[in-house]
Parts: sequence; C-alpha cells; structure tokens
Amino acid sequence: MEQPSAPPPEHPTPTPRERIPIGRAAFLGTVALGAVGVAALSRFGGGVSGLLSDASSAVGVDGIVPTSGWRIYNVQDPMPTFDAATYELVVDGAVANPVRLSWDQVQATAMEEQVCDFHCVTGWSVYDVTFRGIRPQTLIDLVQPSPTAGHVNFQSLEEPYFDQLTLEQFLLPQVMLATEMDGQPLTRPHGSPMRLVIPQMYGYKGVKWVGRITFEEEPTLGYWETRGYAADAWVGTDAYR
Amino acid sequence: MPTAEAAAGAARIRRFTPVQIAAHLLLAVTFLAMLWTGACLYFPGLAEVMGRPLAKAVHLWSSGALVAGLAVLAAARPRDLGRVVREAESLDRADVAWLRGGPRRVVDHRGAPEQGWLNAGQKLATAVMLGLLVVLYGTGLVMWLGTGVTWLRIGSGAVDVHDLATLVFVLLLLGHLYLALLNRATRPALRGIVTGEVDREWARANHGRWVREMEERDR
Repeated sequence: MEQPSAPPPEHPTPTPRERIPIGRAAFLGTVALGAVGVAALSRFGGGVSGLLSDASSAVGVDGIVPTSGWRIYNVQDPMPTFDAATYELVVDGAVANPVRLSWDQVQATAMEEQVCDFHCVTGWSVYDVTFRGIRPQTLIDLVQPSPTAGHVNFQSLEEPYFDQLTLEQFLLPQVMLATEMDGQPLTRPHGSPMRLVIPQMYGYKGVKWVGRITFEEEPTLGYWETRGYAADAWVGTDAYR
Repeated sequence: MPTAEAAAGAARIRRFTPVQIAAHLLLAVTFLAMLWTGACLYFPGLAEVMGRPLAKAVHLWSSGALVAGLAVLAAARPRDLGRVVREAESLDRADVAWLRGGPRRVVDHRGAPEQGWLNAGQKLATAVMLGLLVVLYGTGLVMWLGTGVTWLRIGSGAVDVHDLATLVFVLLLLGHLYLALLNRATRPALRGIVTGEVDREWARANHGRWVREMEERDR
C-alpha cells in the first residue's frame, strides 16, 4: 500500500521567481523597430503622412482635423492677414513697366489651372494638388523685364521670408503664382492670397503670402538658403549645401 | 515599525513613492504639452491656434524639461525610478501565465495568476512606452537638428517614424486613461499615483504577491 502523499501545504508554493527579460526585449524591440523604420522610410520614401491622411479620411475625422498631408510652416507669428481692400501686389525692379496690382486687378489677370505634387524638404509630400493662378509669362508680358534681369525675388508679407528663382527657373512649366488651391481661395496657413508654386523644387522655394515680386540682375540667397539650404532645391536632390 | 496585524489591518498600502509620483506627473504634463503643440505643428487646422514658432518652442522646451526633470528625480532617489525599470524589464512565470489570459485580462483580473507590484500588462506597457519615448527623442532630435546639421538630414524616415510612434503612444495612452479612470476593476489604482496609497484589499486581489511580500517584510 502506498504511503499517503504529503498533505497540501497550508499556502500554495510561490511561483519560482524566474526573470524572463521580456520587458527588456519589448523596450529594445521598440527602439530597434524605430531605428529600422527611420532607415527604411528614408531609403524607400515615406508616404506615411499620405497614408495617415487617407486613414483619417477613411474614418471621417479629417473634417475635424483636416490633415490632407499638409504641414504648415511659418517663421513669424502671426501669419500675415489678407485684406482684399488693401492688398497690393507690387511687381518692380529691372522692368520697363513696374506695376502695383490691386486684388481686383490680380483676379482679373488671366489664370490657368494645374494638378501637381508638392514635396517638402523635410520628407513629406502631398500628391495631386489642384492650383489655379497666374503664369509667369503673363506677368513678364505685363512688366517687361530688362534683358539683364536674370533673377526674380519673391518677398513674402511674412517678413523676413523671401526667396529667389532664376528667370529660367521662373519660366519652367507648371510654375505659377497660385491664388486658389483645390478649388478654394488659398487659406491663410497656405499663404493667402497668393503663393509661388514650383513643383520641380522643394516647398521652401514656394514663397507664401507673396506681396512683392522684384526682377533683379544679381543673385541673392533666400531665407533658408542663408541657413544652409540649396538655392536650386530640385526635388530628388538632397538640396543641402 | 508597525506590527503585522496593524500593517495588514490598515485600509491602505503605500504603492508609489513621492519621487515616482512626481516622475509620473512630470511625464504626463510634458507629454500632453508636447502632444498639443505637436498637433498644432501637424494639423493645418490648428496652425493658427498658437503659431508655429511658439508651438515649436513649447514642444522643444517640454522635451528638455522632461529629460532634465527625470535626471533630477533619478539623481535624488536612484532606487525609486530604478525600481520601475527593474520591474518592467523582466517577467516571471506568473506574468507569462497572466498574459495567457489574453487581452481580456487587461480589463478584468478575476482568476488571474497572482501578480507583483506591477502586473504583466503594466510591465509591457511601461517597456514599450519607454521604448517609444526613446524613438520620439531620437527622431525628434534628427528633425530639430536636421535644419542646421547637414549630415542629419536623412529624408522622410525621421518625420514618419515620429508620427507613427506618436500615434502608437497615444493609443497606449488612451488605453491607460480608460483603465485608470473608467474601468471598474482597475480604476482604484488611480489613487496610488495621486496619493501614493491604494486600497489594501483591492491591492491584495490585483497585486497579491506584492501585498504578501510587503506584509511579510513588515512582520
């Protein structure tokens, strides 16, 4: 006959305190995933901001917080305020016919519409943006720059932001001075009433809140170019000097 | 030193030290500041609320305040914050058994294997959130310094990962707030991170091994 087994202990035996480093693995795994993500998304292009904005559209929260992939950059607060009654677009410099256009005159100028992509130098992009605005040639026909005017300055109402294109760059296809985006007048964060659009270059070249356009003979460095960015900010290059 | 009977009889038991409470409060305040200012920088609809320069300044100063504050607290009482790290870094068999209860276990601890000071879900959440903070700081530094330091401008990866890590952190935070404020089984824990003390019987049911060890220590 078998001996009766020992009576059960009064207290259950405590679980042995093995230490399995799962927490450490979760911590290091999260950090590693982040590092791999940075490398992979930098290498293969992001599109994550686009995905996130698509996702927010899908669940219907983009009406509350419209992302549409845009991030708003400005360098001075508050952003310039557009007043149709007082706004003037000054176009001057080395030109035969300098002009000051009221907002009504700007709107009466011939405009075209286009669909293009927008790329920010920090890595995000917005695709298929519809812009409507004035073509450079229309402006050039109006003010008639001198043959020596090889550069065009765009002064923002947001002092001290400005940037410059060569005349050749200004005349590239799809460059425009946009007053509408996606069928609506430009909003204040997007540079109302007028912004420069040059899809071939990163967004910092696309001056917002344009108030003055000056044809120049000499090159000048723009706001970000004096801070280490390239004057020729071609999309696809690293645009850093 | 209180007798075992007195200790076991007290209605509450001390769970967090003042330094742990201060660290949690510091993290909560600075994270919410960074979340709000980050949203102002991220969503065009919020771009005019604070303006970019102010939002960016608050975002950066908050990140610095969190690091500096944690450094001060850690220097003052290394063991208090060290304990959180030590607890979170490893699981024991009871923790693994707890996790086998699946997601339901997170909101309902009935029948769960006896847990220590932190349960397995809290350990993993702490570990992942600390990992996400490291990721957010790393990518944030790249984004911040990248405007001035050429070799740090590495494309969209840092921006995208900063966004995604924020999203994951916010999801965890929402779960954390639900468990702390709304879920009946877990919300008694809230008192602990505010006053330091939790209801002893609630703790015995939810963190039984810890309570037992505390009572044995006081015996």
